[in-house]
Amino acid sequence: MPGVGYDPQRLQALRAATIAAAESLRVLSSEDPAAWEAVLAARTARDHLEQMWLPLIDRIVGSDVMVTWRRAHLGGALAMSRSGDDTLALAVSLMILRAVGDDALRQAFFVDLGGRDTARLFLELGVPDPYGDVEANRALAALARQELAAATRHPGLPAGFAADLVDGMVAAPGELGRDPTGTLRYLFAGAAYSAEFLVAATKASVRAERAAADVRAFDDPYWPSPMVASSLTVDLEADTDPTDLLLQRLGDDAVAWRALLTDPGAAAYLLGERRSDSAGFGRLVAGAELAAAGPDVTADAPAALRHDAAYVASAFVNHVGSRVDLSSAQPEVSASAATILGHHLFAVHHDVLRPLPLTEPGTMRRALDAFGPDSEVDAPLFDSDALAAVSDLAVDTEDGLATMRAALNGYEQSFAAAAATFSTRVEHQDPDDFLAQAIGELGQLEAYLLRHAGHLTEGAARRRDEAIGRWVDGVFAGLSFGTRQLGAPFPVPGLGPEDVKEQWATHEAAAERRFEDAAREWTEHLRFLWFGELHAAGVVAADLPDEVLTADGKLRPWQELDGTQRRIVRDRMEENAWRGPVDVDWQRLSDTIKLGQQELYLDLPPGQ
Amino acid sequence: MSVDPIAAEYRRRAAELRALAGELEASPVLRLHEIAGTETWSSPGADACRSTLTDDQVRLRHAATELRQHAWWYEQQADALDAVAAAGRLAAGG
Repeated sequence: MPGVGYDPQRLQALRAATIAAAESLRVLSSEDPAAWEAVLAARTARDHLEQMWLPLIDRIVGSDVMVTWRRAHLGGALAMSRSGDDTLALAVSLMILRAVGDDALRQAFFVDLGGRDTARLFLELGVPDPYGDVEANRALAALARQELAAATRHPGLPAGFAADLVDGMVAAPGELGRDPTGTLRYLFAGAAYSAEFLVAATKASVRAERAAADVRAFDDPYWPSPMVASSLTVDLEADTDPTDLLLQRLGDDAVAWRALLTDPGAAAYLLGERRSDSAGFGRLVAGAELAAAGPDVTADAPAALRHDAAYVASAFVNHVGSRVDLSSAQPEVSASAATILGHHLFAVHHDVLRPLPLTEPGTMRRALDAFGPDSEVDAPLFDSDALAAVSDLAVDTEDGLATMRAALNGYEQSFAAAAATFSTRVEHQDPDDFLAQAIGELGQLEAYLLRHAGHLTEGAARRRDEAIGRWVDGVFAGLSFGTRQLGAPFPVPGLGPEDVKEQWATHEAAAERRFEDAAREWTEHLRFLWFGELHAAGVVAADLPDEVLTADGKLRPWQELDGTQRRIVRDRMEENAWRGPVDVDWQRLSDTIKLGQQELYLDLPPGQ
Repeated sequence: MSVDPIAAEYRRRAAELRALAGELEASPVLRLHEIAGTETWSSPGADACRSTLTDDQVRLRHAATELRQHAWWYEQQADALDAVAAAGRLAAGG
């Protein structure tokens, strides 16, 4: 037989003969000192048969990889290796691939080998055979991994290749030395694969974990390590499980995360079910944040991207919101939740106004009246209970709260501006009623988020007071955001956020009054916001002196006005009617804002 | 038949060594190479196995030869002891 290979029937006969030979040597014994050398020779020969011959024969019988990689022809190049053996053939093939650097040749090699046999190739190279050249096999594996990674980058491998590779690992025979977990770790730890390949491998890894759920105890590792680890793993620093490693490898690639988390099964499992350490869950949530609300998720992004981002936001809220271990989430998780909700406040607002239970994540074309009929967007759908849980999570830390506050400030401004502009359109028969309704809707969103800040632990009064204190702190932080973004006014003289927070947390009677003061001031902020936007849209034409207006006729930010100018603006806002093309009854606006915020003062759950 | 007890022990040990040598030479391991050639399998591992087998077979055949040599030496010793014992009996009996 030339080159590499074996005759299956002859090999089976050889196996039987080897066992018979070993048995014949086992029965040889003698106590005579003159026979010691003979007995020792027999024992040595028997050891070789049992520990070298039989394992090797069994490896060959159990694996057809030596035969299959011979099929992966490299044109005439592989013929050069025909005079050698299996390992040499592989080595020559890989070295030719590397030296030639031909993408098509590299792709053809791995396509011909297939994902499953590629898996077995790495498994076999990692078997710690004491009679094999372990170091040579490791060098070969490194070369094969490098070429495989290059093939995934350009021109790429067939869609099912990564899944076949992972499936091939998982289906590896449970024989001594086969180590799917270690081999996968080796494969994905040290080479630059394409994002598409990593996403496909992650999905396959998740599928494998889910398929094994029935045979795994709740605290079993997802990827158990065998008694004998692959020799390929000796240089790996951490024993991260393959799925965690793959998630790590996705890094900050928003497109890859979106591709992963728009797979309903993968999203449900990873976000809602899978156990992770805090670092692993943090990475997952950060990836979801990138996918749902990353820098590329903009209003002018392609529709498909915005749709996928909305789906991930829906999956995040609905699955993370159903987790039972949310109370132990790290601060970074809270910040990511705030970023996602903050980016999708339009959808949050919609669900706050019309809460619905939801069984599966999804998106829907939705509109809000205030934005006008052209405002329909592909919005994430949120289950009302899950949204409440994630809202709690989002405002549970200083960073999360600040993020939500800033997002809400921006949303409120755009909402008010849109509503003010839309109210001027001639088709509106009753624009002041429309505005009153719009203001009320915005008040409900404000109240919903505000209530959640104080709704974290109903049973623990102290904790709840602290949470409300933090939100009060956030209102002031919001004011500072507003100063920058919106020109929001009304700092409270002599009252710092720390004072309010501490006093409220200790439940001093005065703290409650201060808190109400703060809430009233926030109402003032909203009123200024609406007044400014209505003025900018020409809906109200208040008799404002030029010095409080910008060059293009808009209301200047509050902090730029001196005391006299502030009094003038405040007086105009206090007038019962804001007059202009439309007469807006301020008392109605004021009442609506107060109605929307009454939950600040009353001990009612959100939405009642 | 040995009359000297030491000579008798030498002959027993010689017989045991010759039996052991016979078993060694009859072991299938000495014929394993006949079905383990490249027509059966071909790889670096197979080459290593064949090489090891050749070494083991040489050692086993050498061990069998040495066992027979030891047996021959024991038998020589037994013969010598028996001859001395027979001479002693003649001298004593006249």
